[in-house]
Amino acid sequence: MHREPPSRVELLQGTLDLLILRTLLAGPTHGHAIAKHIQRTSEDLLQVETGSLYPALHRLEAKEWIAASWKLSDRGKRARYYRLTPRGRKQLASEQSKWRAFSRAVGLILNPVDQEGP
Amino acid sequence: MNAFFCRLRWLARRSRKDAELREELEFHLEEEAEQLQAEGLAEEQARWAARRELGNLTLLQEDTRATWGWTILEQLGQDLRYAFRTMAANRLFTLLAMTSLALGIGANTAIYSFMDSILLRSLPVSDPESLVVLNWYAKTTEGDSVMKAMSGTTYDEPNSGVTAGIFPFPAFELFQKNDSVFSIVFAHYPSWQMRRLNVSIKGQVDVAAGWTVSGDYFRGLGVAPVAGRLIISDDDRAGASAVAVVSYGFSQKRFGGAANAVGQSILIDNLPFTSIFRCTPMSCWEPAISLAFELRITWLETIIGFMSWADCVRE
Repeated sequence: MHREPPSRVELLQGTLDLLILRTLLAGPTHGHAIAKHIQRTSEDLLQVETGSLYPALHRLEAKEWIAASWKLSDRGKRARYYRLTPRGRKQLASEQSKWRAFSRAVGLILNPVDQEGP
Repeated sequence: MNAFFCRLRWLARRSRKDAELREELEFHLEEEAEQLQAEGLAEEQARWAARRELGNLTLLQEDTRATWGWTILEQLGQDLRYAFRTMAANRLFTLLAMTSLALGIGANTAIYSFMDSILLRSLPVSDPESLVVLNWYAKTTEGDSVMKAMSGTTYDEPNSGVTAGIFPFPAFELFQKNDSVFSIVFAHYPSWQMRRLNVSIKGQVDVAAGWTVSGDYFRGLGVAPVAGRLIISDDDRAGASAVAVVSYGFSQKRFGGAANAVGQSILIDNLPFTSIFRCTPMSCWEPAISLAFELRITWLETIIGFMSWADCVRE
């Protein structure tokens, strides 16, 4: 039985970093779990491509926003666990407020409070 | 700077990181496959589906590696390796290219240092700025000139006409007497450089170049000898014994050392010179030339003989 792929939303440029950081706020976890968490939490609307997830994780690690260490997973396998660094936490806060401002601005345009008469 | 060292550190553990990335992606595939199996796919099918979901593995690895920030270094290394491979494969071309480069750079360096010593550096004398050369000018054509005959060369200056640096001896004496303008007046006659001198030392004959100079020549230039003494104004009188100063190179070649050259007898064009003094290596403009270019044949290996001016004039 094949599951029906739900209609998906393309990730906006630059939002993947934000989503990864936000996911890691809950605690350290590995790449696969990050992807699944984003997919689940977005009710399958957002699917993170593996091809962009791992480069993004390593990029964030290079920026020292997240740090990685090897731990045993729930199933007893060695997995690379990522966790948020203090700098990453700061970055997440600023990105989040930027995102809120952005989505509010877009919302204001899409749903104007005062209907302008023709 | 910190980021740079960080990258260097990473470069050192590059292969370990590569292995780690492979293991990380391997883990991802297993997790994905297990999840698909839990959703009801057969083991083999689940594995394939996970692999499909991952997409182009090499591209993914490349993209991830690119974030490590080594790409530039890696590409530089690749380029260098490629360059050396090409050179090794094409030995003749490499040899020719390297030879022409070496010759070109060498010739350039030689020419530049030559020009530097000739044009840019001042003469290796004590006060080169205060030296002046006296010339006379005649605007008229040669037939109308006051000068009727002379031994030497003249040349035409566009502005001033016929020009020469040769003066009659009475004129030189006049300059010396009225020395209010110049502190020291000296004369030299360099045409012996062109004329090859026949120099005989202890029966060994050699061809050399030389100058005839007046007694104040070395005092005027302000140079000091390495050994012995230089020609002084007392040598410049009738009846004084003829003396010569030899260059550093000549003393090394013909006398086997600096001190040995002092007081030796030599014959210059069959005229006996009883004493020989050694010029300093810094004088006679010798180092300027020898450093720059091997002009030794005419200048340095040869004697730069200085006779007393008076003797020459009275000759």
